Amino acid sequence: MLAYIARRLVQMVPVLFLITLFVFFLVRLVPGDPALIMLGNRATEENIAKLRAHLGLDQPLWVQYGRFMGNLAHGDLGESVRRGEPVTGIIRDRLPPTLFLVGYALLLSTVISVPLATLGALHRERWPDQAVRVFALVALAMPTYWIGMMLLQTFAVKLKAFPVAGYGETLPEHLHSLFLPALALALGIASVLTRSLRNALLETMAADHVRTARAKGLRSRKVFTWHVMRNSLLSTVTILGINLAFLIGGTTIIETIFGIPGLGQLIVRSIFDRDYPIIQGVTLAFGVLVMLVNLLTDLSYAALDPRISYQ
Amino acid sequence: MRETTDELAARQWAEWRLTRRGLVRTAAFAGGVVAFGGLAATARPLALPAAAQDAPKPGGKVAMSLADDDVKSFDPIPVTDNMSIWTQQLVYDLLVRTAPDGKSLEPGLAEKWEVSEDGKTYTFHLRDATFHDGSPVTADDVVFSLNRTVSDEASQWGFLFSAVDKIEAVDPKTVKVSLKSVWAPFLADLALFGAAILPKKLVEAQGDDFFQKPVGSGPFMFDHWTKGAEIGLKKNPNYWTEGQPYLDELTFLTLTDANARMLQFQGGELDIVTDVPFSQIEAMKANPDVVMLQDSVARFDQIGINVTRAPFDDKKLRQAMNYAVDENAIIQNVLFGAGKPANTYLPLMYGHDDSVPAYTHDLEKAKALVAESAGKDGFKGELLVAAGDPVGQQVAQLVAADLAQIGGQITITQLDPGAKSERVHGMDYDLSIGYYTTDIIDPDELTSFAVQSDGGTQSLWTGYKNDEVDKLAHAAQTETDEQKRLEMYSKIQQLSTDDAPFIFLYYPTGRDATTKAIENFHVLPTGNYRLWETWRNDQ
Repeated sequence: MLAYIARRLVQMVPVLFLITLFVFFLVRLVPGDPALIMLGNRATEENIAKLRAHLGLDQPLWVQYGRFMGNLAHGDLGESVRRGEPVTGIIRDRLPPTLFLVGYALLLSTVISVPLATLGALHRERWPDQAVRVFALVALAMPTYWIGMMLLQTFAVKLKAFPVAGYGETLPEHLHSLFLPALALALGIASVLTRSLRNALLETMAADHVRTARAKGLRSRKVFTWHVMRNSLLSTVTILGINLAFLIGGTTIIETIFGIPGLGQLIVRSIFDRDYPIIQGVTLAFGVLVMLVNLLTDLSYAALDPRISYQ
Repeated sequence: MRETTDELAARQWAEWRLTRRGLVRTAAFAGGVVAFGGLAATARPLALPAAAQDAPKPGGKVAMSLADDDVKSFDPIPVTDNMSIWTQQLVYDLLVRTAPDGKSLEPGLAEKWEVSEDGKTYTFHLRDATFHDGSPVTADDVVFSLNRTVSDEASQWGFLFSAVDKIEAVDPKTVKVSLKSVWAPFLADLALFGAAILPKKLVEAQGDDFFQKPVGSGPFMFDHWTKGAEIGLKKNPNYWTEGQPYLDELTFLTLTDANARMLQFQGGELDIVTDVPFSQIEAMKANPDVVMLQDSVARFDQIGINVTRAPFDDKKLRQAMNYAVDENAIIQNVLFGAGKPANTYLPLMYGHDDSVPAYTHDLEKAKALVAESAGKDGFKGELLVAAGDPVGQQVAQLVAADLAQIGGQITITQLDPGAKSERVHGMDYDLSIGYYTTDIIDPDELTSFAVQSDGGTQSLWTGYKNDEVDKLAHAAQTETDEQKRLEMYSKIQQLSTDDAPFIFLYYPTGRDATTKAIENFHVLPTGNYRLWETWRNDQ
């Protein structure tokens, strides 16, 4: 198991290398010059040349890439063009809110979708099932942005049950502040999860081993928890893993609406500013995050299905 | 009682109308003459009429939005974005600073100053002030800070100080600046945020770390900074203006999404919300719990015309386009009335000449002019708009429809702001929607980059060149007679408006809203706010 994890981690290195190559050249292919954007209306020829030299942007691309990779090998992501601060520090400050938000959203989406899918599967084709399907469809159709605004308007502005913005400082504060944004993100995935889990449950319920379990007289709750749910979760976990990329994309919008100082908000602003070092750093961080989650997903298969084991 | 927003706005417009008649020009500019003429100024606190009626109450906290982005840096010399600039001005002091009227200067750290006969040497006398760590502000700090602004490689503002020859400390309380040649806007340039006075010892000892926890001598002290979320400032109890600031704490929340920002304000998390969307101004005005402020800010929205490209190199066509565009319709429909048609490249600020005839909407005249121009058989053009700028997009559609009436086939292209600026700076465009604001109260900065062909920006990348304008702009930089200087700027405005390198759109008003508890909050024409004069009436 440990050897497997180590192997997977090593395999990440070439992928990360490809990401650096991709991001580095891709952001520079997009028209727009950080020096020009930074100077705005004060961008005289002289000022631009001076600033480009100051930022090291006057060097040939391969020299810049070499320097970037050299620094990266030392764990240094360079300095932000706009803020003049080390990117590693900026990411360290911005990572916790995003991680918390994503984790919270995953948790909420599970809390929402598992009971709903169960309800639907147990009352197949009757009104609870229909209601769950309608819910899933509506949640899927509503853009995260809009859900966020509506939640904010209703629960924060009108009912004042939640703070309108921010992240808070302690764990209870985080849980309180991030509830609405996490819920907005969770609803989007919950619909997909509910539908797939409901179908998986129905499929498993019709399987032979379930009939056997019931035939030998096990109580139906026990059958459902241990034989149906556990076997159905496999597909759900896969979907959850894939949807993490979607979740991270969603944070960019949700963090802006709810004023959460995370990576999503940072990268949006940095793309407008063409703040290359930050874009590179955050993309790498997101890349690592997605790969780690994929690894965790694979590992959880083994926990859910004893037939799967890793060497 | 404070003035209502409408009254305030009406008063401000009235002031500008009077200026047109030339009645108050001398009076309004008297302060400017004192400052610009370089006579010793006296430290007389200036207050707006609204402030005089209620006694300020000390204490309390205020939360305000940063609408564009978080502060990028507290270092005054590399920054170019307004959020950094306006926040820094609460923490750091300047030698001289913009007065509340936004058109003149008043003493800052320099209590008074003298200018030599030949206009090339300025001597500043510092007041007794201390930095937030308790150390006194000395001439050494001033010399160090100004040298950074003028010649540090990271400074974006050196170009404003190209006339500076030498900065030296005469004694601990006196600083002498020698210029290579007479430079009329010098004091106004010193009132630029980039010339903020920093504590030499701390900056040298801490390097870049200093700007993570900046120390200044300004009315508010740095307290905390959660990147991307909020900045906290605290009252400086030893500030050199007795009794100010009134507020104990300021919090700035980064809220870039307009809807989110307005929700936060309605939710009570903000006391002052900036950059209210045009579409919500009416609702804010109708809300009895809100004061909607529409201060006059020095901003000019325009469509730049690439005059190096046919057929836009034809002045008659450019004039025809100006006559064809209905600015009032744009102001009514897009800005919901929050603006005024523009007549010159100088927004509503010191030196703006309201008597220059604007291109009022006149379709007949436009058709007559276009018939005599290179566009007489119809003309085509591409209009660039920044993506994600809903106001710009609406303006573009109205302009395209107006120009269609004189035979113009305008295609609108939306580009990411960075990509758009690359095309404009490369002169690879026909028409482009843009705007600018001023950093200083003197017209020199805007003149050199908007209409002066050798100002370094090819006249705001229009390629416009008029030898007489260039000559006048240079002469105005060294003219010390203020009346003559103003006449030169009037002439420049007449010439450049007639040449029409832009479609002159509008001067928008400021758009800020506060709760009823906030007193004496105003936005200066330079966009910054004197929060040390603001107080809460519920204390």
